[in-house]
Amino acid sequence: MIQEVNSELKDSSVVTKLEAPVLNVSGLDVFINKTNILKDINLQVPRNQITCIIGPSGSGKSTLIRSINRINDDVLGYEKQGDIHFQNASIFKKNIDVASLRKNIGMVFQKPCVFPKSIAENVLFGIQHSKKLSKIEKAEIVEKQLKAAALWDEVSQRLDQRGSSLSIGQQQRLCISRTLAMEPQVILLDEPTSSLDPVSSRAIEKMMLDLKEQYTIVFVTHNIQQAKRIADRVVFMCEGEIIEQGTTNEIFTKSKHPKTRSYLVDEYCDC
Amino acid sequence: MNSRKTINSIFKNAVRLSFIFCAGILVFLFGTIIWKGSAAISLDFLTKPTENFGAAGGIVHQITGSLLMILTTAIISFPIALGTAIYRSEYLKNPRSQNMADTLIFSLNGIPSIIFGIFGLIFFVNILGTGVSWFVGSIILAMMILPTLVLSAYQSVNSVPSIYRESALALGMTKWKVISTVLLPKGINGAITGLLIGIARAIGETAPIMFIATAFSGVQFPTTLLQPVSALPTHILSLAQQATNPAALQNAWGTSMVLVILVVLFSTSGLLVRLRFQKK
Ligand SMILES: Nc1ncnc2c1ncn2[C@@H]1O[C@H](COP(=O)(O)OP(=O)(O)OP(=O)(O)O)[C@@H](O)[C@H]1O
Ligand SMILES: [Mg+2]
Repeated sequence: MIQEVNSELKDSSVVTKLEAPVLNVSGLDVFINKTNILKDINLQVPRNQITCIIGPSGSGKSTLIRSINRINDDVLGYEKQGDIHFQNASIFKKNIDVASLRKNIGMVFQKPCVFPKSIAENVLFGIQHSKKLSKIEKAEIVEKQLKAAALWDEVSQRLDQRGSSLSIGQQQRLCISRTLAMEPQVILLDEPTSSLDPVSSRAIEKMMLDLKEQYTIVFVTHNIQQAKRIADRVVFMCEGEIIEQGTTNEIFTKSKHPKTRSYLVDEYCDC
Repeated sequence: MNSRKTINSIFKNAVRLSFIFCAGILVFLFGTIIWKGSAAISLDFLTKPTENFGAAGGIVHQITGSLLMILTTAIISFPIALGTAIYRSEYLKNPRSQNMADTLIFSLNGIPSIIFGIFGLIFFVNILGTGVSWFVGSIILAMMILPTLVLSAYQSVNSVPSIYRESALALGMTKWKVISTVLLPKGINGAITGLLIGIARAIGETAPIMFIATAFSGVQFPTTLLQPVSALPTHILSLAQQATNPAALQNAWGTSMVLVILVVLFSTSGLLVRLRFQKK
């Protein structure tokens, strides 16, 4: 068992070195109403891995991932310096198509948000606007992505019912399958399990481990144990800065920074 | 303890009295109109044209004239209000221009209706030389009820939680797609509510249309945009001016009853629409 984990770690670090990171955040500073929210963020996200961002409330985790798909653009008073590269191209380039950037970098929010439509229509909500789909294709996508989000068995008999009739945990998985239907390269998840019960949380964790075969995952969480369970890499943030980052093993067993160590032990950080 | 109880009961009785007073006025008004009006109302009254300056005959052209103007008012104001509401909610992000837009909408709402009438008379009838025209009347009524529609539509667009916008944007939808698929359906609900309330107000207005859109007698259903019509409120005005003639007075009550029924119809359906959408 231990050997298996070790060899997996080795494999992934080899891959990291060979392949350029999918996302590369360099020298990112974010200001909201002139307040410096993120300070000199440097971060590389390797392909087909789960990168967990942990840190206390208000440390800027959401602001960071919301900068990556540029959903923060609409926030009043938002300014940024530095750059983010997605597959070697800057996401802030002048004529970039932000909508198609977001098709490649999907996002799942903290609170599930289903649209007032049926379960099947919710899965198709994004994709049907970017592609013409036949009836058969639609049915295929619905089945495939609900299966990928481990929801199919629970809803296959009631696809025409309203999405809002599902439990909160099921709604969150519905939101995930809606994002998967876009077939993005990267999925950003902002504390997707924080409003869920432990059973639903575990279901989503397990799903993440399956999904990383196909997708690159950036997962924000408050929950240190959760990060330990699913992460390949861990990024620890505090007060708008990255204090330390590394493989899960590095962070949890040989963290160099006293702040990281105190946060991992006490879930508290006096930064 | 005792004094607190007394204060409580005084307060309770005071608010109850206000309520009774309010309900009493309504019952008295409706009661009088129905009591006096129903004597005038008959199938002939509703389906025959006016004779003898309103003292005889029916009010069919007043009913169709009012409905025609109101329908046109609705068609003109609805899209403009929806567009304004969406622009205000989704595109005006800077607080100063938001304030300016709100001030504009509220001051438009505060303008007395007679001013709209005078404006229509000077700008359309005199300067543009349209003459007395029901279509100009509809334009003026549309301006007048625009703020009601805009505010109602704006409130419902703006009350869509931002997580819906963000979720849709995060799925790679363009801003316009988000507006048309997520926000417009919501905004339309609000605009319909506002429309019914605005129309309930517009159909009873006399001042804005009496100089520019209506004639008091001898008017048929219009065949062009630039003809006058007869309308219910202005007909009541002209009948009231012949109040010494009991036949004219009775028809004034009858016309009032028809008008009030239309107003109640529009405003209660506005209320129903609002309740239905609140439930969702
Ligand atoms: N729209 C905004 N306007 C003003 N300040 C903001 C805004 N969004 C975020 N902030 C500030 O930026 C800082 C970082 O917030 P952020 O939401 O990124 O933290 P977080 O790490 O995600 O916290 P949590 O774990 O509670 O979700 C906070 O101090 C917050 O108050
Ligand atoms: Mg957050």
